[in-house]
Amino acid sequence: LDLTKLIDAYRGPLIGLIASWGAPWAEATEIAEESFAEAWLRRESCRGDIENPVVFGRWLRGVALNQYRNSVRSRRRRERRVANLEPAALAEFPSAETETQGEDLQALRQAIDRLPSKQRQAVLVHYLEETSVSEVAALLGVSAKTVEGRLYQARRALRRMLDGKLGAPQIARMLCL
Amino acid sequence: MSLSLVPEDEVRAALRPYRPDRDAFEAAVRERLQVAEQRQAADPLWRASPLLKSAAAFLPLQVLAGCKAAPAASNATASATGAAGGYKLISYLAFPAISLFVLLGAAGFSARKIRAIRDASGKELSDSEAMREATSRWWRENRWSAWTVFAVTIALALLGASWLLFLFYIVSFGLLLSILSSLAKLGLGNRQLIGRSCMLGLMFLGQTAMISGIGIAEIHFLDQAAVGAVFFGGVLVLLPFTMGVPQLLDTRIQKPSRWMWAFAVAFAAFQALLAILVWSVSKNPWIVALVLGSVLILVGTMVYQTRFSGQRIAIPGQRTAAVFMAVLLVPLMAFVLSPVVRPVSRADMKRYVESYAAAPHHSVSWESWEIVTRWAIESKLDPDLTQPRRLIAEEFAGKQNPYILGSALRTGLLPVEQVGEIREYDRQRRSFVDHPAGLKPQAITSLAYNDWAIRGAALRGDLSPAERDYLEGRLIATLQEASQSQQVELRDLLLVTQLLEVIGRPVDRERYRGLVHDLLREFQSKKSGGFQFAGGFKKYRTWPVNAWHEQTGSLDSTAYAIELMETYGVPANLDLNWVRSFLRPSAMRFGDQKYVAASALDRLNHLPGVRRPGWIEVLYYERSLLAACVLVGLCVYATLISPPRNFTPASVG
Repeated sequence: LDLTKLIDAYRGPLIGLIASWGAPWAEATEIAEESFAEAWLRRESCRGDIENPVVFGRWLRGVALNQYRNSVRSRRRRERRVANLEPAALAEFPSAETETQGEDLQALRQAIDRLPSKQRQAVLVHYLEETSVSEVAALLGVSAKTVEGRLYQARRALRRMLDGKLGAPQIARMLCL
Repeated sequence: MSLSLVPEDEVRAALRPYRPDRDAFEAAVRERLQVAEQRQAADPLWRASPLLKSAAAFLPLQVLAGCKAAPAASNATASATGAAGGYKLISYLAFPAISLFVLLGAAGFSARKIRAIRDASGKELSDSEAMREATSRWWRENRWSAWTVFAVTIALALLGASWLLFLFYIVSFGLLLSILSSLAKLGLGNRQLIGRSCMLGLMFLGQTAMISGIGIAEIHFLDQAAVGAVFFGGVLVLLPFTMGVPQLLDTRIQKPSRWMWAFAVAFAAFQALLAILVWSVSKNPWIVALVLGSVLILVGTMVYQTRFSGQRIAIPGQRTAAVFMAVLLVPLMAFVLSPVVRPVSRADMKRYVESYAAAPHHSVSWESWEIVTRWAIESKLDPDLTQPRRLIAEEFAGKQNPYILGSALRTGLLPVEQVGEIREYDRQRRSFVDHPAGLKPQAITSLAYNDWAIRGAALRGDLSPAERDYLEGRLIATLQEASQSQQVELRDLLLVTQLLEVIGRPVDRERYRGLVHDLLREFQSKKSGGFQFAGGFKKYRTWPVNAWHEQTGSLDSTAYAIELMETYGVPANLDLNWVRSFLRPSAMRFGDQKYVAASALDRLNHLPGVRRPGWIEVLYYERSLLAACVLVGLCVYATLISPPRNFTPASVG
């Protein structure tokens, strides 16, 4: 088991996954770093063949979810103690770069944020880095076909959003999810 | 209708600002790892939950971690924190941290309660008719509870989980108190009756503990059959106090029914078959006598009942039954406890090595003997190998089995000068060193079969430096292929290591340590069955899917694994207590097996840096035995403090 290879394979998808749960990007990166360190330290506790991508993906997702929950709890505590802290300020990342992007990309980013959660998750996990569908599937614990389906639906929904052609059902789903 | 999608490149471009820097990310992960390892080294509990930290403030860490950990506290913590959710809660609240304390508390509480029941008990019945009526009433009121307890005991015993039985034994303290209390309320709290009730209960618990495979799937350092022996010991102690039970004095001896005789015949046939089987395997007259002895006792009892049917049992009858019981139980206890009380000594093992005058199972017997003999030689026991030499001379003059020749060479039985006289020696030697120019050294298959030829050639000095280099390449190729080969056995790894030493090209331990450790971890089996304990090392990497039983640890493979650990060190995260448990002395190890297990256990205990289990660990793993001892003690205590009563049967004469 090689740590560098694991990081290379799962870095992007893991950050995307944590961001899809609602963590600001900077925090998602930190949680991902902590998750890799934790998963590596406790790799002996992983049940099953850790070298199997499906097993490792599931294991890493579990570790990351625990880290994310801890992070949310500590953020809430922090917010309670420091009343004047603006949570939104933590979510800005990386502000310098975002300003330089074109308006189209900015609009696309906002549209991604408005996608239904599963589609948004698939987009963030798959497109943040060049990650194969099979690795995304391993991390999300679903089949590769499901991932492909979600990506397809997400890209179609994005196109409609960008063209201003949102149907009533889609608007309702976005409001609900 | 064509559907328009957002191009993938645009989505990627939109997310590009959020991409982390590859090198910075990895550096951050490694920094976190470094910090975590440093903190863990400084404070073993820093990753533990607040609940665990609080518990660790007053409980030893080893106990807290279920004694699963190596002495390194960090490992212990890792074990303890590895659990999750409900399991974590159960382990905190019930096992393993406080089980010993629960036992101590329950014992103290029960002892006090027994005395309180005795002090609060009402007037004793003196009339035997009233007593018989009270006994019947007690049985009517409690029979369903009694049947439930019987059923649960048998079910738990068949499950074989000693920690469940441990719980049950603690629950039994409460049952004992309940029985004492209910007997006292009915005016039946006399010593004879309480002693007899306790004795029957202990007899039942002893039988269930003996018939099942208790603890074969868990870590124990002592054979758990000793639990049954402890209960039987309690029965023997209580026997004298049960003489003159008033309810029995008037009872008449009944003639055995025809069904009973049919059962006795079937039982005798079964035991006879078992005796034949045991004799064919072990040739141990004591075990055969024990097996047949149970038939004699059963038949003897029935003959006695037939001969004296219709007569009152009376005190002489009870004494006769007690003697029968003692005759049955004492040899059984001696048999079960002998490996615990008198484990195989170094002198026994030396005697076994020296007295090896026949190989009933040919190369298999030689393999077991070789394991013990190499240990005896390395332990400087200086065994006299005259008899084995005589045996090897017969083999040399006869079949020249390659496996046996290998064993003989490895133990120094076969003089080096005789190697040249072995049939096929030259051809075999050449087959390992002759090779077409430029051909990459190939792995050697069936190394155990071919070991003698390579070893013999090296010992005779028949190998040139170039041939040694080539052989080294082949042996290294064998070692490297082991990680992938489905046919690999741990013995092959040991032979490669030994042969590299013999040809003067010692193995690079640092380089191959990881490979060997991975295989050792893979081969360790925590499966049990077929009288084999869990925790040993498997013989084969793969096992037929449709096999009627699963592959358990093998004694020989476990001995080889320990020898590999002598060379390559103990793999991280391999709990040696499992191995120790697999090698525990047991009455069910016969013949060569007990010597192989004893030699392997001695090697294990002398591995560099390996610590033997402390008393806390021993107490923890033997908690069922401890609970059995306490339960027996409580029964004896309850009997002794109860008032003795003298009765005159209602209708004597």
